[in-house]
Amino acid sequence: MNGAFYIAGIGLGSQQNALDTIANNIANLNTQSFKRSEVRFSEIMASGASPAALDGTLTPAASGLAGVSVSSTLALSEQGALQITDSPLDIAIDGDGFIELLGNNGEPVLWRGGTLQVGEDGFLSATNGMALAAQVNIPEAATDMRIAGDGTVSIALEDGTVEDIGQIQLVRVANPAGLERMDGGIYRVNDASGMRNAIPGEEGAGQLVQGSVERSNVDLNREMVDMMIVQRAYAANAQVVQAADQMLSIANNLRR
Amino acid sequence: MKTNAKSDLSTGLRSLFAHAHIVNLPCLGNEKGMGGLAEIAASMLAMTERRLETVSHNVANTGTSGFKAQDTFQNIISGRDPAVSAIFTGGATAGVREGADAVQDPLVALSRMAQGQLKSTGKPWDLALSGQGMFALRDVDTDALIYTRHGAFGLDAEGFVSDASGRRLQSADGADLRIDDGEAEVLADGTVVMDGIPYDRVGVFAADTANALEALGGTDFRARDGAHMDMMDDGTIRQGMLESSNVELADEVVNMMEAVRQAETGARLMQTYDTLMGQAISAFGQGGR
Repeated sequence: MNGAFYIAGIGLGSQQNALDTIANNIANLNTQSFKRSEVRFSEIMASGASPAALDGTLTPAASGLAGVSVSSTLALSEQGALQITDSPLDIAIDGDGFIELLGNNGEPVLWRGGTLQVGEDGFLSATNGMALAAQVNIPEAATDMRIAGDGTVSIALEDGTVEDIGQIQLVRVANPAGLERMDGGIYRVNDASGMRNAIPGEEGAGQLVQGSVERSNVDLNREMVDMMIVQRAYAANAQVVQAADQMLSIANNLRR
Repeated sequence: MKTNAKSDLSTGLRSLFAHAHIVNLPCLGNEKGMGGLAEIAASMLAMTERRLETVSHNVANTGTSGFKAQDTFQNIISGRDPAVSAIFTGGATAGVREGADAVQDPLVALSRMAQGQLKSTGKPWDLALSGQGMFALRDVDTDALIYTRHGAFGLDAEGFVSDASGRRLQSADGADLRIDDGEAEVLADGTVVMDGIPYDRVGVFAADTANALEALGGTDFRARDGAHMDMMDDGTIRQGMLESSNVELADEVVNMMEAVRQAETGARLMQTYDTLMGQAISAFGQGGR
């Protein structure tokens, strides 16, 4: 009886975690450049991933069943819709890739675009104050700034001349599992082995679009359907807990 | 004055043993003694516990892709000959443990190999099998081959196509599948095409004999000793899709209710035995005066 209890309990916990992920997605329906998390379930067995432990030493009565585990992965490859704002400091990425920022400890931090700002020292930075890794410095004399699709940043001076001052490159990530979501739409890189620099527009990286922001890639219909499925699965697991409870009470009442 | 307690008692016991056949278990122990009845009841309760565990595992995994639900039922035949069991349990089965002996393991867990619904995810390394066949994964540490329908793969740091536990997908030639940087397209027959050039082929394996696979739970399967898994020519792979769990909640609830009722029957058997024993002791106790 204990086996069924624990497995159903784990099932309940997993569905709860899945609901948390769905809730986070729905809460961020209107967040700029938000990437939704996707829920993945996988089975757990008492013997782990390798079958070697099963040879000979376990008695036939041990079933080894242990429930389910849930993990959430970022759906990075789904593009959000681009919304035109006409503000020269808004930047969006159309396609694959992230803009690299300099984190607090010098660690690489990835950003999916949004509103830029010019820091006190003139360096372009994201809304949260972290400077772009591309180290683009806007001189005070600049009247206008243009960012081309391939990341080239150019400024216009008062006398009408246009000057290229740098290029923003994109970082492509092979494995979304290596990223960790942090506050404010930035992602910390936990596993740097899959990161590759690319010039926007080449090698599969997306293009930079100035004057637009990327909307959240959450699809409300999909989240609603997932939520209903999770609700039903939760109720089913609760039924199993009740059945296990009934069995235990039968055993307890054997002796009147 | 002699009472008829003794003859009543033995009549009662005989009718109880006559009814024991409904529980479909061999009568353990001495038929003339009463120990066998207690063991039958205890065995029934243990079995229903195992049944509920399997149901619980199925219900917990209704969302796990590639999961194959397991059914349990009693091994009517003694189970010493798996081929004989296979006739009664309907042919192609995965999950019957070899050498299952009815006395120690009256329960058999069979995997239901029905196709699960394919759902589209859009990820390049989510693969689903439509129809027969299984993916082969190699465990890097033990070199063991696991077969599965769970097709959620990704590229690891070295470029090998592997699942969440790090086990590597095998190509048609039986080697680890490795992908260089770039967009890969997986065609229906498993061919991996990169930039328009066929690069490798994902292996889809099937056995030519029934009962070749042993279930290690719901998603992982292992080939039994002596069984061969060969590459299929006509396997169908769908890229960007995952096969859902084939658990039917209605069936599981029915199994659950059945298990609970069976537990009640076992309990009732035990209580009846207990009552009769009590009567026997008190009747003989009185008769001795």
